[in-house]
Amino acid sequence: MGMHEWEKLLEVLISVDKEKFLTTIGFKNTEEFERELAKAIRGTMIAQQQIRSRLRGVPAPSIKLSDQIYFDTKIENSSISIPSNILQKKGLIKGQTVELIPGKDEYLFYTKIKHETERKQSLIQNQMTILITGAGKGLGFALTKHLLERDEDHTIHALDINLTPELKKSKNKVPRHSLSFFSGCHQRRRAYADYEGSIPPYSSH
Amino acid sequence: MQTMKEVSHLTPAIDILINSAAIYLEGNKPDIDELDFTVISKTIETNALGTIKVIKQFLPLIRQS
Repeated sequence: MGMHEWEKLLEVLISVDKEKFLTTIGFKNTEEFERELAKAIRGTMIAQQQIRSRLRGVPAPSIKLSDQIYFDTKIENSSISIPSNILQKKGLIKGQTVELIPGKDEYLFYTKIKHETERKQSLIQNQMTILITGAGKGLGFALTKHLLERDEDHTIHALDINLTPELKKSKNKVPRHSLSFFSGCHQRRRAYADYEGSIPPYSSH
Repeated sequence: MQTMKEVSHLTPAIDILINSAAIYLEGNKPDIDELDFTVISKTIETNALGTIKVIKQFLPLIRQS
């Protein structure tokens, strides 16, 4: 009986100088290869866990993108972690997205978007414009409320299918418009609120 | 698209976009064979693709930040 194909392949692979092979394809050494491999595997696992979290509401893994200090707080049943540079270093803020992952323990992670234009310092010195989707309940609601309570002159635009009575009643928080959202979503009626400036009457379309 | 237009009338740029919108349908059914595929599809459409759609819609305003 001849050797199976995989046995032949294994024999060839064993005979290969691993270090030489890895350096040939661009790695400095075995350690670097194993380090990169571990990162790739971890990244894949995190992505899978995040997708699962979003789909089924299971706890999401904690994500540490860097050594940044995170601001932590707990409001109602939601635990909120916000990278401190988002809220504190206003002058350095560019475009960023923050994604909330639902679950028993809830976390934020964000991606810095490469931007092409520098916004004038005068515009970003004192406030930021923050858009929150899913602000009607859960973590989105808790975060919206939290940002409002910090009272740092941020302009907050909150979006949801329906804002909760509690949020509607809150100080300086009256929805301005109601409009459609998500072109691919069947839920057509979403409320829109602008929490800064004058307070126009609530209208629902 | 309509939302993006409305928001762009109010602000020239968005500094932070927080994607928190999600739906949670039939979350109490643990077994996949009990789940209705249309419900799974709608959940993915909203929770996974919706996030990307929102980013894509608001990217022009995010880039202005």
